[in-house]
Amino acid sequence: MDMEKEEALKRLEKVPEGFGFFIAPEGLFTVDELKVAIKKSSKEGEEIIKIESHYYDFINGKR
Amino acid sequence: MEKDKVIVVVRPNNRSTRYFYYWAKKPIAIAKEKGIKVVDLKVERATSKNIEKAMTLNPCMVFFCGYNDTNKLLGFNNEILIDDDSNGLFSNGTAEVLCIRDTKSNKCAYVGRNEPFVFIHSLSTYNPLDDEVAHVFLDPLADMVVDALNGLTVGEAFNKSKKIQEEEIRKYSDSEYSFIVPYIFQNMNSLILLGNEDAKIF
Repeated sequence: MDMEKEEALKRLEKVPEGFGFFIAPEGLFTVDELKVAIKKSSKEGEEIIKIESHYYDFINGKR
Repeated sequence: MEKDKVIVVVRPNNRSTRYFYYWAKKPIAIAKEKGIKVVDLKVERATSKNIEKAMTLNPCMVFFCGYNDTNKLLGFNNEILIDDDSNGLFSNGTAEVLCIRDTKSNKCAYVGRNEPFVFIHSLSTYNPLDDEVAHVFLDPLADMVVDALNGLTVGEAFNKSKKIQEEEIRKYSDSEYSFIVPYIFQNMNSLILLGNEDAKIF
């Protein structure tokens, strides 16, 4: 993984619950890469899902 | 109605363009207030056929409300509206979002991005325009279009947008929203202006 992607994924870890993010261009990250980034920051095992091509919403156990 | 002043807005409304769709409303309203004819190619009208037809009106501004890739823009039903085979628009590796033609010299300017674009949005708002966090990211872009409609040159509107983003970085650095700052910084730096920066529509 190149540094730019790694840096971007580290940033995503800091996005708190209650927020989603939009990423373009399409395919910049794989869903698996994003899942790893989010799970690192989650105590409750948050899951990230790919809604459409660019929007990713945090889904936690409370929703 | 001012003659020769036409703008074309292309705004498909799907899950990947919904925020951009809503953020186009303000520039469209401002343009109409100024008596500019607005060709609003929204939702199912966002097709390449309609774009071709609209371009025959010799618009002074075209903006695309959606950012699908760095080498293509998609419309209704994911039709490719512009790709890297289309008129060299992507020759510098950017997906232009705003094109302005100087109404006197006919020279054009393009504003787009040369790096990925990321913005944060709230999950607790239904209407995107009620999303305060998204406003931080998208207002400087919509306002850039408004400033151009108000008579600033593209260069002036572009620099003003960057300055607003710099102010946002300072504003949010020590706030509960500090996690958005790296994204604002990246988005600010990836915004680029190509062509005639003195282009203006009035």
